[in-house]
Amino acid sequence: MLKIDIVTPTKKLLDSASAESVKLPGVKGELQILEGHTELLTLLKAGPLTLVQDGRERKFSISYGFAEIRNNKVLVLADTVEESTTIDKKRAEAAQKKAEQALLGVLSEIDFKKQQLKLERALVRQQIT
Amino acid sequence: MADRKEIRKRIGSVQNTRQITRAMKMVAAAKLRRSQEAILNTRPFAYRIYSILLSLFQQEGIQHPLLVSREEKRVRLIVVAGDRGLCGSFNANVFKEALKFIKVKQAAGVEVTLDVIGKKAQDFFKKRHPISTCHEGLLGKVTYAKASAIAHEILEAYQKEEFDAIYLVYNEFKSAIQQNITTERLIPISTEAPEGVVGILKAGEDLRLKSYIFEPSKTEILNEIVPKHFYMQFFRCVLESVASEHGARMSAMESATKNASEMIDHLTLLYNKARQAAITKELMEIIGGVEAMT
Repeated sequence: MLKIDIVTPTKKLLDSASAESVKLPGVKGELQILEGHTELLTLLKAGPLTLVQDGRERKFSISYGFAEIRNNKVLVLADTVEESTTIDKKRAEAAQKKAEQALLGVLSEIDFKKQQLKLERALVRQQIT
Repeated sequence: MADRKEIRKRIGSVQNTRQITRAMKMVAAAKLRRSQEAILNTRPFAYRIYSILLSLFQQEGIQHPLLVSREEKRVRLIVVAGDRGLCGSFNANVFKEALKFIKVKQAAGVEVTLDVIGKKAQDFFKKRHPISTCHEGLLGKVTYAKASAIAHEILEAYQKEEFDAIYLVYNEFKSAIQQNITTERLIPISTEAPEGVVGILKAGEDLRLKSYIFEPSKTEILNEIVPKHFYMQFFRCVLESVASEHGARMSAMESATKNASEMIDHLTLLYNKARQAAITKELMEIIGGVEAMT
């Protein structure tokens, strides 16, 4: 069994919840963590995080952070985390359209990147609901 | 006596004031509770980031521009105060500390530029010291997104070498009735763990990361985690300042309410005395009149 913590700057979403496996969006590709995983510190990108608890899946949308895996404990630190059940699909769609619109215009490098990230997040949110 | 009406009017007005200060105290107390919670909620994240950071510092070959001290020629001081008054010496204390800091640095030949947060700080320093940026709209509702955006801006200026260190002066939240004025150096980040922190972070186990796999690499992880630590620090300091402000306002309003009550008691006593004097005087007049007739 794995113990998983998900922490954001303003909230503790999961506090050592048990799970059989965790799938994380690592920067180098998706990672699946099972019991006995080696010690690892990795960066995460925006993407879906999937948890298997008692054979059932729980999905989260997370964006940018880290994960530390040690002694069958998974610690996820991310800027924003949302569970699929709390995501408002319409809002995500609206956010996607807004970001797409903005990307069509002329933007500074920083703004371009910001909008790109926004788009990415909106897509992840829709993907898991 | 003619001034009885006057006294009654004054009692009325003091009562009104007391009502207002009492209401403000209640509001501050409620807000204080909420901002205290906000501080507590940031702790798990902040501690864990810091513990990972500390364990990374133990690794060999760790390098990052934010960890290297440059010679201080120009420094940036971030002053965190409030948007509103009526909170005792909350704002004044920060200003005093900031002025002291500026004086010390200037005596050492270091140029100080200011970043201010809070309308009160803006008003105060407008005439006293050049302000480089006023960050408005943060204090109304402090969110991580807003705070990290500001922190990011400051960091970029640092990386462009506009200044060599970042200090922050704010009210550290001790308890509802106690605030400590604190000046902290946020950047460059010290690689030494401050005393006392090690125990909290259970560093004993965290400091051994030798067998870890780092993905994509130590350096890239450090590049992400160091700024994030700074954002978190900044966010925490602002939250602490906000909680302190509510705490300060609560105790200021509490004592204002108490003073108003005392004043009302005093005035009521005066009023009663005046009334008694008037009655006595009337009686004397009647008795005097009766005596004259017999």
